[in-house]
Amino acid sequence: MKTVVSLLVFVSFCFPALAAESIKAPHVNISWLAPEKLSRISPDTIGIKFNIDPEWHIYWKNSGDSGAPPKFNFKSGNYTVGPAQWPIPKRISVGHLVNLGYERETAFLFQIAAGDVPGANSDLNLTLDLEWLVCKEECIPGITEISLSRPLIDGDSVWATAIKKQRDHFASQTPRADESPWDLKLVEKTDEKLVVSVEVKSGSSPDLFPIDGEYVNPQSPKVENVGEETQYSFSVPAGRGSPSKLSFLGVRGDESWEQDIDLAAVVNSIASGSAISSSRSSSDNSADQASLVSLLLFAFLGGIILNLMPCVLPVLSIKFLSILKTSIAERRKESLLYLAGILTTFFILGSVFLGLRSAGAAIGWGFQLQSPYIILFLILLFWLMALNFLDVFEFGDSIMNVAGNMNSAGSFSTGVLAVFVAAPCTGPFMGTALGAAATLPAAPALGIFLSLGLGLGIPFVLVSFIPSLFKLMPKPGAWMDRLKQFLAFPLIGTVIWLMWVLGIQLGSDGWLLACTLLLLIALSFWLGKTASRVVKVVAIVVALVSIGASFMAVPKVQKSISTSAVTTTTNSSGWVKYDRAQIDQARARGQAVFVDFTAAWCITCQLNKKAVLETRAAQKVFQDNDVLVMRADWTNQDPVITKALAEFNRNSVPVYLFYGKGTSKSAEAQILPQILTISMIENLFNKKE
Amino acid sequence: MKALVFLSLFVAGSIAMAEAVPGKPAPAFETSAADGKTHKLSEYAGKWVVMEWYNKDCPYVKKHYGSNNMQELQKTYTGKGVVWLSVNSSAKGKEGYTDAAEAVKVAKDTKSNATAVLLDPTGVVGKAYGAKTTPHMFIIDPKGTVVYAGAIDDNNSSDPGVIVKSKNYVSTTLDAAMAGKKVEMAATKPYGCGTKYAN
Repeated sequence: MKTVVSLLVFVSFCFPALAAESIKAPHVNISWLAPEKLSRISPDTIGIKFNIDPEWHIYWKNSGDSGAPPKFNFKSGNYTVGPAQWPIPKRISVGHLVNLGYERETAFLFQIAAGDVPGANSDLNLTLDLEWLVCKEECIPGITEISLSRPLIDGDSVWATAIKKQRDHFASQTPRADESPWDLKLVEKTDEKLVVSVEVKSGSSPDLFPIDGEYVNPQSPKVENVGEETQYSFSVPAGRGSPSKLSFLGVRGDESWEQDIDLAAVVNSIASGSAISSSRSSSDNSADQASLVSLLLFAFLGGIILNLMPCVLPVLSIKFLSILKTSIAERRKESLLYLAGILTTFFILGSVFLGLRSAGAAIGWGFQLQSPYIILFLILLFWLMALNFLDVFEFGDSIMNVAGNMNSAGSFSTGVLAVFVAAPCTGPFMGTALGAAATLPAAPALGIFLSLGLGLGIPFVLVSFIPSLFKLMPKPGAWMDRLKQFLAFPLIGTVIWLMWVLGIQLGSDGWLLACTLLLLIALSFWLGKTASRVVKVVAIVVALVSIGASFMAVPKVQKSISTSAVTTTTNSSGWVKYDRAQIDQARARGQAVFVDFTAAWCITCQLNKKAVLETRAAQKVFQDNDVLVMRADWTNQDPVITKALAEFNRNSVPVYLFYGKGTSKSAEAQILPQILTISMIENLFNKKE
Repeated sequence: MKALVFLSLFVAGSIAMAEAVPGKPAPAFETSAADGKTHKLSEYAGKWVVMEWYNKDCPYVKKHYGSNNMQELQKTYTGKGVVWLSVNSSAKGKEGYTDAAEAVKVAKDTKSNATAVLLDPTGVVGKAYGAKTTPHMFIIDPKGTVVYAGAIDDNNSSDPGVIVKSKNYVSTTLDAAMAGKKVEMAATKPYGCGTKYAN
């Protein structure tokens, strides 16, 4: 260790601006596996290589019975560096202990992207704080700083052949991303052992290494053939409880895959010591008459509040405008039709929802907005409505006349529309009610949907039916036209927002697709204004073709994006992607955890995010209290997140979960209200200190 | 025949792997200490006992002694009537082995506040408890039941600088258990150097 320090002092003396690029320390030599010139454009993978003296070893991410894995902390620089990728470890017996690690040589790999980082024009400069432990029987820890400077170039990275060969060798040993050639299932978990069955889909059976040493011992499992499958029996340390899932590294030859085994079912049946015991009790009672009544009431209240949410308010205002001039009889008829529209839509959506549920699909409320087709349809609809409100076009009696005008079909469809646009705005009370609907039998579940619809429709009906309430409404006049025109702007705002949602679902191609569609639609209406019959026909053709073509293009765009990683809203600073294992680990350490269940199409979520969660104040509170902040993005269908929500009897977003510091008091997760304030976040921590 | 050999090995293995498990009675022991006396677990009945596996040359032990963290813990809890036993299971010829005289000297030099330093060069006590690393911590309640087994804290770095940011499992467990509250985590994965038993 002293040598390292003196070496560092020496090196930094010679090159004051630089830490060393290679390190000689007791029993290890450390160097980079990096290109001579690094591509500015495409990400590359670099390695940090350890040459280890014979008989000595360093550690894998699960070090086994003793020891410690190396720690990597990239400090500064104009780059983004991915998480460490670990090559295949081996079991190393040291006395009576088993360690998991590496002998002779290994390299840890990191994806590096110089791309869109400020300062990327200059050279790559990065510094790594590196800590490791090298052991024979005795151990020597090392802590050092190692740097890397390389010029950036516009083309591909330029590698020295020998270095690249080594990099490729170690990279080939890191876990593969494709589907593994075997299935793992839990057979049995007791206080002494964990039995896992392996069904081999192709080739030979794997060696398995537990990734989390907290719950499974590192010793080789006992392997037995039972019928078609192979069972691996691991010993487990006593008294450590059970996580909800366990991860293993499956190894065959030079290839490896990481795989999870779900323990949730077993953990729940054991009852004690489960890492996350959610509020199951409420679902147990949910069959009770009393709680069903209160759920229906919640749904009804939630529906009423929904009228005030930013999604519904413009549509509702337009509807109000349209009834101002009408007679009371007509008004009543209109309002009932509107309510009927709402209830029918809720009934249909509810039935589809229940149908899919019984078919085993993991879905939740807002599922209709997880479809890019629906989003594209809504974009088109809002665009047409906005143009109409701005008096750009007279639609006359055409089918586009959805919201404003006075006719029965219009009122009914306003109701339909209200439900569709309401989906992104889960308001207070709604989460609980909809969550319960997901687990209740069909009849009461539908009851909850309808009760929500009744709440949504009732204010309009009341105003229409009760003259004294109606008198409170302003008198009709010229202002109505101005207001109508004004309301076009919130509608265009909605279009912009939906475009963003589509962009997240389909990538920038989706955004381009929708914009082109809107352009062509606008063009076709402009064409349609001319007197010429021929041009009018052309206009209709343009409109129909562009609509048809754009909807047909959706699956193609979708396909192209599903192969590349979908960029989601999770990449803002400090927030990590939802990962149950990470939560369990943080909980085990006693670290506080905050989980934001969100979706791009959920306005309430986005408001909370911008107004509270991502403010400096909130970030500071999270940082000061060392909170693991995690974001579960439900913009696209994701069964993992749907399942996580279901554990808390929810199936809509937003949901905000908080686990306090420490471990015992927090077996129960705290669910925060759906509309957040800064003080709520601050109170989470003030109470405890 | 093979199966029988295998079975007997397995049984032998599981006996050797007997451990101090939270919620179960702590394994009894009787061993000599640096102070020249013989110490038995039974003589501490009615008292809280901390067992700290110890190896003066292990970097992770040095992390906690060099920073005075271990001595402070010993002082705080022996001050509250807790019996603190540092146990050295390094075999003769292995890293960290000391005879009684040297153990006394080391304890004095490091200003250890332990009640006693147990000498276990045969590894009998260490293996009975399943001590895998140094440090490896065990807490035993006045009835002789193990209430905690595992790491000293939640940061397996060898850097003493992280101690201030770490959550100390020994103090959190003792504070809770001695106040009659539920223990948050009764078992954790210990970290550190492997215990240097005889081969």
